[in-house]
Amino acid sequence: MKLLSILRWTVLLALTATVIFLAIRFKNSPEASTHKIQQALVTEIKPAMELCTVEFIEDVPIKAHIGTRHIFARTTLSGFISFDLDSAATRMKGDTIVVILPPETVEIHESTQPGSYEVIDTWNEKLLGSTKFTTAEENDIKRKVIDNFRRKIYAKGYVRQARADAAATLTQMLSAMSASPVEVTDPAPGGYFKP
Amino acid sequence: MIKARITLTLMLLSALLATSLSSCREKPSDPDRTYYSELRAVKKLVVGRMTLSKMATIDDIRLSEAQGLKQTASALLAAIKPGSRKAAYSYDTYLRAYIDLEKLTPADISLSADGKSMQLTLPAIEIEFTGRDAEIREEHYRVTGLRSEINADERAALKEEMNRLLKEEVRQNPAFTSRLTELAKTKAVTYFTQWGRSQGIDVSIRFKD
Repeated sequence: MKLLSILRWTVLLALTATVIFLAIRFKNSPEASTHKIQQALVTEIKPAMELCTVEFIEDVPIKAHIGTRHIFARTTLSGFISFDLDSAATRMKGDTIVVILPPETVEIHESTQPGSYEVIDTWNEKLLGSTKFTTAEENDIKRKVIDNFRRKIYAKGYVRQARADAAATLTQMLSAMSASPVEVTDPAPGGYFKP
Repeated sequence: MIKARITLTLMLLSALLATSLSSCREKPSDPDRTYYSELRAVKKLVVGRMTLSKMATIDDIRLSEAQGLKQTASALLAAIKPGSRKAAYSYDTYLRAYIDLEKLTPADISLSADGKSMQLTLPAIEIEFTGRDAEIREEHYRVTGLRSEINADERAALKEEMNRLLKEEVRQNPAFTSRLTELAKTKAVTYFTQWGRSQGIDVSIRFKD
């Protein structure tokens, strides 16, 4: 009699667990939604005068976690180092035109090449824990990846190379268009790192 | 005997349940891929920039719109599940117009004998995509009831599709690039004319085709 009661309770417990499990699976089951994609809008168009001397593209793995939730993804970052010539100061030293190389702009974006952002896996250390990441969480993770990549750009000497190349190119370009000698000076060959 | 059978049945049931529960815990994969990295030295004079914004919405497939068995089943499931699942996302993509200074030859610059006037022939304006926002803007999000949250991989797939369509739009509609090209030409002419004027040189500029 007692054994029958144990059996009854066990079956009931197993059924309850199965129902909970199925409900969670049902809630998290993949949903087939429609996507409506609007026409592209021009939000800004502006003239520029920038000298770009270095371009880079790199696949970067993203491995992050928030609490017990983990994400593993891959992104292709592309970018360039440029110099705003409109803000370059000039002065005369005798008959020589001295141009001061302005601070660099390091722009880093996600590439527009196909497959530039791919989420490979999301998981939770806890059994039945959520594997979802909100947009804000994902954006925070991506922001950190870009910040780290910017640090790497400076650490690897890409900015130093870009500044040296810019000084040489600018000297060449402006000398060809001037009757006076042109000298480009660089007050910060290592660049202006802004964390 | 009966007791032993019951115990065995219970053990089997527990094992079955444990197996099915553990299957919902995804294991991290270890993708075998080679990461690509490239650094290029270039000589580009960027003379114009453009920002394009793209927006997309996520909504349920209506039963009347569903095509094929799979979509009909999904639409039916969405109709059964209590709650709503709607969202809108957007992000920006960047283009730039530039002159490739490596295509500029000494023959393209000719200074008059008196040094008062110059003929400058600049390479054609070229346009390229420089990238897109890594982040995505969540313009709207309403997931209620038993509907599943929109996850990172669904957003990534949506962004991929938006990117593909945007590039196709830019390729098919020359209005996007022609506006930028005109603006870039004007800027280049202004810059070089002003530089020449500051040197006492009258600069005349034309662009190669």
